[in-house]
Amino acid sequence: MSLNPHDPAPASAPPGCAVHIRGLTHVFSGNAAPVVALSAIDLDIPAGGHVALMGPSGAGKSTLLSLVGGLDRPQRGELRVGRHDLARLSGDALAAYRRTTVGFVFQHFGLLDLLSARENVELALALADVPLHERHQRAGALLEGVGLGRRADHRPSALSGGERQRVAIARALANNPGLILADEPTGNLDAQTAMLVLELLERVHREQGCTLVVVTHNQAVAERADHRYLVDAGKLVA
Amino acid sequence: MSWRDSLTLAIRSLRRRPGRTALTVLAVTLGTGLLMALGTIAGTADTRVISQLSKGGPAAAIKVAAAEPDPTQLASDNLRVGKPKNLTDEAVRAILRAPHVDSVVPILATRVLAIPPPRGSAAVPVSEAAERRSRPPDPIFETMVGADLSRVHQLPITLLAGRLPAAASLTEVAVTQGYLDRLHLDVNKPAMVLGTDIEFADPQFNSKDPVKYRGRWFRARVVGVVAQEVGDGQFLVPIRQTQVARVWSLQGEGDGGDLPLPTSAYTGLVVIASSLDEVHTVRGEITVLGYATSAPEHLVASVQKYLHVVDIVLGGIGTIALVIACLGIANALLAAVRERRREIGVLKAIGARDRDILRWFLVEALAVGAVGGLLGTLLGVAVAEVVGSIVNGYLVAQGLEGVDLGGISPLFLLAGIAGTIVLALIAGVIPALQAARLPARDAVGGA
Repeated sequence: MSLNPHDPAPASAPPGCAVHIRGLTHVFSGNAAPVVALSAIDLDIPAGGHVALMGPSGAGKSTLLSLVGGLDRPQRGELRVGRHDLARLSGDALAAYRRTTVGFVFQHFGLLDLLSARENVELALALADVPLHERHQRAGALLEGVGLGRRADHRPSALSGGERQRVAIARALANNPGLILADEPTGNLDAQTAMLVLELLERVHREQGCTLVVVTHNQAVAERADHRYLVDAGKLVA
Repeated sequence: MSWRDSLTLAIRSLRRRPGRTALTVLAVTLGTGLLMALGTIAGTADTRVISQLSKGGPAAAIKVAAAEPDPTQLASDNLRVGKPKNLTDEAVRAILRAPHVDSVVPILATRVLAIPPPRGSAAVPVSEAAERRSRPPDPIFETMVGADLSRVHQLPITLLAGRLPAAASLTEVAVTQGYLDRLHLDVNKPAMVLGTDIEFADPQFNSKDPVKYRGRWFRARVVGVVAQEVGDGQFLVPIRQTQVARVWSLQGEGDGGDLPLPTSAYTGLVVIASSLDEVHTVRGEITVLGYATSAPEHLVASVQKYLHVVDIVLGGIGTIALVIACLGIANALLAAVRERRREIGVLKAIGARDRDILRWFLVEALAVGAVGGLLGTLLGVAVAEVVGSIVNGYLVAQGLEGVDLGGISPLFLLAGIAGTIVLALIAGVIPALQAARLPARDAVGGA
């Protein structure tokens, strides 16, 4: 089954977004001494590419993901995703970028337990001002696509970890993003479920042609990517 | 994200913490209830006090006498009259044309001879009936007050029992408690004179007749007992009755003998000013026209000041309770912001704007305010009704007229609900702003 909610029109799926990073530096300044999270990162990810970011905890992987995903604004350096220059975006424009260009998949799933699986997917569509009647239909199609059509009305707390992550993937795909950012997508899953989720992400990447960036500690997960980069102490090592 | 989506999120969020939500709504309900109950009771007490001061008539009523004014009359609430001066239809029209005058109700009082019901009737206590039956009824020489009873709400009249005479009737009369007292009846049981008939005679003086006074006899049935300050007199009738009596008196010959001829078309007027604030101005205008007036304006003004102080104190107590309840809303929402830090980050990560998050929390505050405001208003009305019935019981036991809380304005109730919602929204602003300003990167925290 296709993952494109607009099926049968796969040709209309947006192409993946290329990521272009030059001299990206990010410093966290709190009450204590400033912490350099990223230091002069240079990275190019081609449109439709599949990249894995590896590295120890606190190395700066999640910070890099946050910056590419528009969760934070770049402090110094150049960061372009597709036609978007993220250093120039703020406020509503940055929110619109996250809504239309990026799909996030979190280690903690990031589902709202107030809402059913279907409503979680519909929420992403609601934020994009998709009409009510269309939301229901599209959310149903997306959940069918990840094999959860029968569990659409269950709350996340009633789903297994793998099922939750599949709902999160369906939500990430709701607005046809050009870039999917997965932050430790298999971190909370057993090996078998992790493989199923990875296969699903890869199928999305293949069918939709979107760019896929996966942050992981897991070597096996990283091996499946086209390119692997190691982040250590805020620097891109390899 | 639409308002509908925000409402869904807000309601689901409130239902996730039922205990906290219930306690917050309860606090708002109690705060609103206290404010509404105090407001209702204070409002009723104010109306009752002012009504008592104006003897049941409108607070802005001014009594005008058929006499010239004393130069110092405006400094006093009481009537200070000079020489008699006829009140004519022309004078009524002139007063009606004056600024800030809403209406003018003419009064005409005449002297009458009244013969109460025969002894032994239901109006006389049974124990005295046999003793009195042997004697003829004692006539009473009294004043009959005529007024336009179709405009009774503009007159200082309080109905104690029965009803008022029909506005056009020439065969019905209402009596005062003074009449009951005169017949040695229990003034606290006014209903016992209802349905009895009184014989009346309007006097006519004829200087050339051997019998100097002739009477125009008529019979009227007592249909009501009133407390009235329209004029001095124990009988209240439609003005048509006293106008007929006046014409009869004027048809006699001579100067009226011991009874002065009723040369004035009216013995008094009740003038209604457009508001309490205009009473003094209208009295001044009537003084310029040359008539004496009285109105409890100084008394009402000073009592109103004290009542206003009481209103402020009671309103302040209620408002403080409501503000404390709204601080509870703010506290609950601040706790919710802390708990939902990651959810807010996730929402932002999937494209929510700051204003979407702001709206989510404001709608949550609004929902608590609306439910608490509605329940609190109902509670306040119920408390006021209970207090009203307790006060009523006490007043009736003391032989006084009860209070009526039935006139609670729907606008007051709506204002109670709306005010609570506005306060709840204000309480929600800081938590909502705090939530809206949380960084989106919190979505990846703890990974």
